[in-house]
Amino acid sequence: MRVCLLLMRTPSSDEDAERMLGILRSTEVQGTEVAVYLLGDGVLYARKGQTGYLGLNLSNTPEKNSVRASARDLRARGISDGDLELGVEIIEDLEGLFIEDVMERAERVFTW
Amino acid sequence: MVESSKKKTVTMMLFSPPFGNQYADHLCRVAERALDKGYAVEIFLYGDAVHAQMTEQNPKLFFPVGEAVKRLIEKGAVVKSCEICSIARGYIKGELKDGKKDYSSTKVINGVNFCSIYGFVDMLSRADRVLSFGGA
Amino acid sequence: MSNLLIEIVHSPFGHENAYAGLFVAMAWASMGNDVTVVLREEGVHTGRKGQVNPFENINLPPTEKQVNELLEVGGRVVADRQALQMRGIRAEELINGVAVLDVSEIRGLMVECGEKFLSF
Repeated sequence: MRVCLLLMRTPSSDEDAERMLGILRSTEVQGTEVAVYLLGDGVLYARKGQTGYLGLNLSNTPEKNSVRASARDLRARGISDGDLELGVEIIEDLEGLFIEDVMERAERVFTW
Repeated sequence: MVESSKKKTVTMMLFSPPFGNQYADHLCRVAERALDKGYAVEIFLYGDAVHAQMTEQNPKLFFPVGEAVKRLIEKGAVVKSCEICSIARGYIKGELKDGKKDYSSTKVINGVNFCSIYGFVDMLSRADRVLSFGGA
Repeated sequence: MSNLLIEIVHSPFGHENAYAGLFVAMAWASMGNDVTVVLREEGVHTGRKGQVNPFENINLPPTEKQVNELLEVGGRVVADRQALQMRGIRAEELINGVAVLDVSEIRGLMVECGEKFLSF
């Protein structure tokens, strides 16, 4: 099953992070592929070097998952390619890519 | 582009008012791209989000939510606003007039309609996909 | 009819989120549809019983009544076990009918029942 997550903010606690990204990290939900879209303040989550509940830890997630961040929001926040965790794709038209994924491929979509 | 003979519908709920955060901005941008790609878009303004319907919004430096809502309506989006939330916040009286509810207002963007929570349930039941902006 | 999954993460009264989410849940359920309300973080307080006249006391509607009515029409209300434990909320404090689920079960529930999802 394909799941899309649209994150428009960063988590504010362990609980919040579990709520927002638990599916990405879950080994219990077998056969699930997760596409994460970072929009607005959500792009802050993609910065490398964050720890604790702010650490995306993409290296620990299956390859079938993806993380994409809005180029416009990264630029506005002064975050460049080199500031991002490895594996984060930068997308100019994130909204367009997201909506097409949601409408044509995903079976579940969760937004925060 | 999606074939117009069978348009998929995305229904979006906004639960945050404009300007205090970016949720209204994000909803408007996603909605516009959905319309561009040929999807049908329905938007429900709930709680404080009904403030997005106010006409005469004039942000100097912020994303112009009012203009975006007008543009979405012009492009074919259905925008409905929670009736009781709008009455509570002074946009409409919603009283019965000649057997129908009076939704007239000089404060609301032309093309925004009102419905009860059952109207929202109807939108949800018809939607192919549902997106939530600004809840939690 | 498809499932509706409503997540509530705010406690009642301080924000209108709990009331608003339950309002949608009840309307959806009253039309014969399946609804699951998931209480997480501070939202688990929405599952506690014992509210005393919130309208008379603080001019706000009683969410406990909403939860009870929702359960009566077949809606499902579940609370995050870890969130309950962190907040020292014991099982006997919960409204009768509110189920408790582990995080892993909630993840599964989101995928299984989250065809349509709203977060409050």
